[in-house]
Amino acid sequence: MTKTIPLVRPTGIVAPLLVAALALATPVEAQTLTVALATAPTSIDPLFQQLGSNHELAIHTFDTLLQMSPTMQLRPGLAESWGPTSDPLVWEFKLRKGVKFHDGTPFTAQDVLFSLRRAMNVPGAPSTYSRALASVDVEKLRAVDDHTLHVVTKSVFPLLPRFAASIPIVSRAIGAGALPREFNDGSKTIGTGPYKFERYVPGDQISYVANPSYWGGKPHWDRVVYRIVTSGPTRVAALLAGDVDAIAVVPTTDMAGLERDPKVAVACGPSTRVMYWTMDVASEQARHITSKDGKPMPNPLRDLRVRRAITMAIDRAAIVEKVMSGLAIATNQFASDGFDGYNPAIALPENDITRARRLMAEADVPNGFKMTLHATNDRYVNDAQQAQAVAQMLARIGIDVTVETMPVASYFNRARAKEFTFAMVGFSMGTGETSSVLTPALLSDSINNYGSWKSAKFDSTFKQAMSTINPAEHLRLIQEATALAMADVPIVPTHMQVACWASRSALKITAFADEYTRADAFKRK
Amino acid sequence: MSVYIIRRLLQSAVVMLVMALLVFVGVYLIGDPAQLLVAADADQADIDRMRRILGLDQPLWQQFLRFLMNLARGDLGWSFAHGEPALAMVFQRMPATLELVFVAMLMALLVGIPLGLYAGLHPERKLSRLIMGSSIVGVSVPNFWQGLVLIFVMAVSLQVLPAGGRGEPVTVLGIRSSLWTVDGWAHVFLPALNLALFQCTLVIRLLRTNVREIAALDYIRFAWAKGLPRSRIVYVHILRNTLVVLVTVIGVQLGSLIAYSVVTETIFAWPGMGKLIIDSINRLDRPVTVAYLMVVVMIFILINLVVDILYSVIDPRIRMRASTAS
Repeated sequence: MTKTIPLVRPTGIVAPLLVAALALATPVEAQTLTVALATAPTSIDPLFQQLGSNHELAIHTFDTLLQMSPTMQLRPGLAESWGPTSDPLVWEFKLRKGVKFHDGTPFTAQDVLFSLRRAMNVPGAPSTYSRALASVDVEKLRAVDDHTLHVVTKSVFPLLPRFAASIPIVSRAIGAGALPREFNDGSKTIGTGPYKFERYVPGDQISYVANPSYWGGKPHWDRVVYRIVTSGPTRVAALLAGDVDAIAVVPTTDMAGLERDPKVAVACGPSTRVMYWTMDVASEQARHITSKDGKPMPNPLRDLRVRRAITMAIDRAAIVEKVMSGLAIATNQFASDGFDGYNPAIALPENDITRARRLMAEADVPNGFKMTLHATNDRYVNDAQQAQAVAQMLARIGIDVTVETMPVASYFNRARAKEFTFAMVGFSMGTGETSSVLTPALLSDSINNYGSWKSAKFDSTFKQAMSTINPAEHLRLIQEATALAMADVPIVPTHMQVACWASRSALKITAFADEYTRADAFKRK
Repeated sequence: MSVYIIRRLLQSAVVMLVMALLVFVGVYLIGDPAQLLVAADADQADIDRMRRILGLDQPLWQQFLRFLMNLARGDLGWSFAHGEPALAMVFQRMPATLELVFVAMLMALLVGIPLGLYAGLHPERKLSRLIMGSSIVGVSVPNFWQGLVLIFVMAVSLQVLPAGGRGEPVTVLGIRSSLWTVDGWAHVFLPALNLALFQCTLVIRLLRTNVREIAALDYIRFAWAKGLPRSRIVYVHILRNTLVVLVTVIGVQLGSLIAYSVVTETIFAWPGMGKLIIDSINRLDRPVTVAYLMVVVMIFILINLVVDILYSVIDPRIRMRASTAS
């Protein structure tokens, strides 16, 4: 019991004054941001696995050498400047001075060397960052001085800076011999990033507090809590109920309702994920194609005219509008306008059924054929519905399609075993530009080129692009290679996904194309 | 009796091994866990490397043999997806689920027993018909839909309870639980209610039938004739004899609630074990799937054992086979 507060009955003018005084006396409340995320991380160890749900959390505590802008342009991070030296195999990164880890130890080039080496081999981990580092000669990494780093690539590699943006830097002093588990309990989760790790409860939540001495300025929030809410309707309910300030991955079905709600702010932006269909263009007889009466027939997908008919028959605008509730951007390549590698000269195919039918007739399949298409049903936004829509669109040019969907657990090993004839694939531009999709999807020797499309011309142009260090020339060659490929319709891209976040209306959201949720992408108005 | 218990535990060990074997074969047939772990643009070398790391490059029987050898040392393996000991992951999630199930069972019994008893004693009254009619809701409305309705009414429209998540656990008397705080109860209330509705219906309906049967038996009629007080007839002679049925239901339902409350856990973002098993199956995370199912089998077996023992305590006419044999 406190006796110091006298019982007063404020009346008249006293009351508002008193209220005002009380308001002034209350210390400024600590600003906490609570966000519901859709996907749980597999580990808090930032180098455990190259996985979106891990990385989006990691970049709160850890910095990368370079950072990504909302539209996937590079900007300085722990490295202030970067570029190839006179030897095109050797890149120099000038590191930021005066940066400190959360425990006060200064950040130097040694930490970068340690992190890149650790990324190759994390104890008991999938260590998939070794993929990002495949082009780097790790043995020849060298710290010229405390703030200058030389990275040697195995061959000329123009995309090195983009890969440098994907690898979080951990502290050498703390990270030596660290197990992923020790990051989960926080004992090793010490980075240079804007937020300090507070607590991680697997499957439930992870929280951070601001790092007031962050080199990029004081973070926007004093404390950040991310809750894992995998069910879409529950995320929306949590936002409407005021349990959380914001949610990631707004379900497409709820978008319209949330946009109308004055208490809610919504922000969407084009994402780096492209959805496309691969076609078996190599086999003499396609595994899942027969003639209308069920007899074996030569693979019609080998004929460019059939492939052109198919890409014409697929109404991308309808997929975007009806299946994706408008939350997608129709495309006929691997990115939408604004991303590196997008080629404005590649137009969307006209949705012309008459012409498509004529092409089918010219290709000697005027009556079409029977085909089974394959798609996931638990991986991409509205994947099973997309499959149904495409099946109906293909029926209009005489292709009788049976849709077979399955969980992702059994999908990709079958796709890689080339078991599918016409199959859905979604790929994210991990580096924020199209070569990271072109490489797996279309290069002849890629195991993710599920349709086995092969073009020596494409391969050579693309490889030339990938060994051209001049950025403008590199991009021009990538665009040229893309145009070369798409003229032969090796695959049928349909759309780029759009990523959406929602928050209470007092916040302003910046959408990032990599779909990562960042605390400081939410600002108080 | 101890012979009986030991024999039951030995049987359960066999069940657990058979189950582990089934999971091994099942995961092998569904797909390749390595392909789910590698980066999307992985090449064959990456996949092969991953298979080596996870030991998936060995023939299946060798993988199973190695699992058995590790099992003998009490090691159920490390999660493919998380790089953590599988068993520890299961136990880390278990308290949240046990909490939820405990509260749900408590709700179901606290509401179900009085209502079932009333409906059984007075089958013709209007209130009894109301109870029986409305209890159909519990079985006929799908679980996930009930959950969403509860969230939208209580959390979004009325804003009296949180829409999901678990309260902050605190340690009291050495037990760490979110149920020690008001906030914890606010969080557990809706998911527990969601789970309890079906259980409650089950208790009401079974109890009603059972009470009606018992109330018609001779010894109850004699008890009335003898002029025993009503409370003694109802609470001792009738209710006590319904216990066998009640214990059976609780036993069976408790096990399945602990193991499979995944729908409720997902809708209410409750960080329990149910979500863990679904994620693990989706990722073909074999060690966690095996560990989880072994723990669940163990729970089922223990509950059944306790139920069997309780039978002989409740009803002296029921004897355990092994004890009569010895």
